[in-house]
Amino acid sequence: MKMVMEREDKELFMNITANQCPGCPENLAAKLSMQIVFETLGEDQPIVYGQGCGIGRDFLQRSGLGTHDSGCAAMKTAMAIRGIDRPLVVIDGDGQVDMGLDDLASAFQQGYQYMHIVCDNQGHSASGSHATGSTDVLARVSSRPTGRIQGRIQGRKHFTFMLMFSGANYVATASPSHFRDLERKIKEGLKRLPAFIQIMTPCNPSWGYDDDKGVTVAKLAVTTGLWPLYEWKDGVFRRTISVPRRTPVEEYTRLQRRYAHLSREDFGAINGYIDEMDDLVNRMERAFGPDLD
Amino acid sequence: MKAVEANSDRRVVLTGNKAAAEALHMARIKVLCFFPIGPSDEVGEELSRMIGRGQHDASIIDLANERSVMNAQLVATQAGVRCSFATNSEGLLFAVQQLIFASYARVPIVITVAHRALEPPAVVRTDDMDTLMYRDIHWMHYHCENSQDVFDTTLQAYHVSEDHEVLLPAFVTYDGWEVSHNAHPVELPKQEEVDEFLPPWQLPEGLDFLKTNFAEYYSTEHRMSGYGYVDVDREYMERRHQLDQALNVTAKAKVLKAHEKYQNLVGRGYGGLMEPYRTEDAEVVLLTMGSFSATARLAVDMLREEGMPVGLMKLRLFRPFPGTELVEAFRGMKVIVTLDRNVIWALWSELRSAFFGQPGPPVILGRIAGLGGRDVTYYDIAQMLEEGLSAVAGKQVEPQRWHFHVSKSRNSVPLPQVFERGWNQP
Repeated sequence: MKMVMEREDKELFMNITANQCPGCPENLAAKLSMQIVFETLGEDQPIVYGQGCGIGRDFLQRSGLGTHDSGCAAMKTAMAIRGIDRPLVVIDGDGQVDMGLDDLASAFQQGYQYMHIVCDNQGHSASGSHATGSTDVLARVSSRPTGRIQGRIQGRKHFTFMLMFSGANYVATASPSHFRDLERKIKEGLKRLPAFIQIMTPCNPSWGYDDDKGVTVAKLAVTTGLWPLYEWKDGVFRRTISVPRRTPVEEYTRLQRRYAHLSREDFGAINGYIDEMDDLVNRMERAFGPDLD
Repeated sequence: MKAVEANSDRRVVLTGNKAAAEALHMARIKVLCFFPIGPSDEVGEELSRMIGRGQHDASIIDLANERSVMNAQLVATQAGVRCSFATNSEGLLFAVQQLIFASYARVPIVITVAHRALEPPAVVRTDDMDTLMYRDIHWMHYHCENSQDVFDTTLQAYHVSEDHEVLLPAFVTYDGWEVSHNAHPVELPKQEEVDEFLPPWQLPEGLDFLKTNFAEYYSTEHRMSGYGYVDVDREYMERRHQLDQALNVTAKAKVLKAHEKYQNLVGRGYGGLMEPYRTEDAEVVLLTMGSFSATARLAVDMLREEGMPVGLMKLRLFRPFPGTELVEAFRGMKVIVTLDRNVIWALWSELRSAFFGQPGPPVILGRIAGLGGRDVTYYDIAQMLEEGLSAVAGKQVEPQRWHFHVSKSRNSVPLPQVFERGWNQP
């Protein structure tokens, strides 16, 4: 499969613009996901909708903020009543998920058959880079000028782990830098609904890196271990991209203005957080991993 | 209510909530959006029992809170199926974003509300504030008096809201407990009559997004319009003007039309926007809404027997407010007493605005009573009408007054203890 920017018909998904910043990785991830969905399920006429900073808003806004999942529940119900059978995919940002966590949790728990893709840029980036539940540890955002929460160092909220045990049949993390992995995950997820995929998408203005470094930053997030890539499929948990030798986290943070305030001790804390997360993923894999015998 | 000859063979006894449920059943709603809050909850309970018995065919959506559920109602209605939802007070507060989206995006949802007073202090009993606080967001507000009224108005509300020239959401409200949990006789029309009056909900041309080809949609310059979308064409102000016209011009006419159609079909009517009672040659008229009207009829009868020229005007629709119609109806009357069950003097201020600049306006006395479900007897209302008669006789009368006490006879005026204790004492 050719990626969006390599294709001749560059107009594909041209409507998905929201006057983004140049080189917006969230926009890239959204377009990639849509391309994969449309090319996989083209015959079934999928309904794809959503809203987000890099995703766009001229994009079938059907109701208020943070409500995509109750909207999906209603759409699937209405489709069943009207005898229409079309796959449903919603793409939105982490702010939407944070605000609509109640909707998300109950729609997944009740098993509505749709896929939810989150383009997670770790903040309300269109509204002055405010923090969300998935803002990374010690990252400076407008509502956390020291990168700390109430003076403490806190990790992010793991939407993926919440949903694994709340009815999701497929859960995965992904990155636009690992395109084949992303493609495979979306295809696997579409076979196992309800499915939830969280793609980490850097954000030029709120993270503060050079416009051409988006994919580099996304890749470094994976190789430093800050964004582990894994999937939960049919009750089996598996790391999909293993990082045997981690890149030092300084290479990731020095590209970004949001980490400019870090002291030597702070780096210790971030490394501790990475170790903790690595350990968490390893323990999950030991407990729920594939049976090797 | 005018006693018109009945052509129905189904006469049953229903509470207000059950009458609403019966109306929704006969309206053939396809999705029951369900989240618990008293006193409205019985509507959903009754419908889900019908679904459980196989008597009614609908899907149930019960998500995490009122916001999720009302949002599901919004989206499913835009997807072309008729939905119902019953909630009140704090439930509406939870979903306020969806309330505004519904009217501004012109989604014709209907919500049945059994009024309950807003907290704190926590009460479960009734007053109008939970929907009247939304008087400025272009919803239609129907106020019902009893179970029969609830039944008929619910059907008419769907008929008007789903009209393609209107496309506005509506509250069908009735007083919690007093109407919602009191049983009244209800005459049910035949299902064929209801089907004729209320055909299935049809989406306007070009707005059926379940039929859209999205691969094509996202690859062309095509732009979705109609419902909520980004205002790229800078037409926000025109949209709001359309909304205002739809409510205050089109909807008013359509309500009258729907009422007439329903009356011809079923043989029962409520006067359209408002219903006068013994107002011919009256000098003092009480203007009120909801279950107060039933009590007020007794008071009017009582005073009429003593030869006093009093009458009642029951307002059926608070939004769109029939201002010019009321001015016309009250022409020649000397004193109008407005009886509000809310803290914002809603009827008093609306009526005064309607009369502003009119030649020879009547004296308009404002009265607030019955907040938090406090009892209002017909002696209370008789006292208000008598005050109006004193004003006619040229005596000094308070223009605005909170009517706290419950009169058990014509002359008893006990004050509640709260005045001696102070407002913040238990």
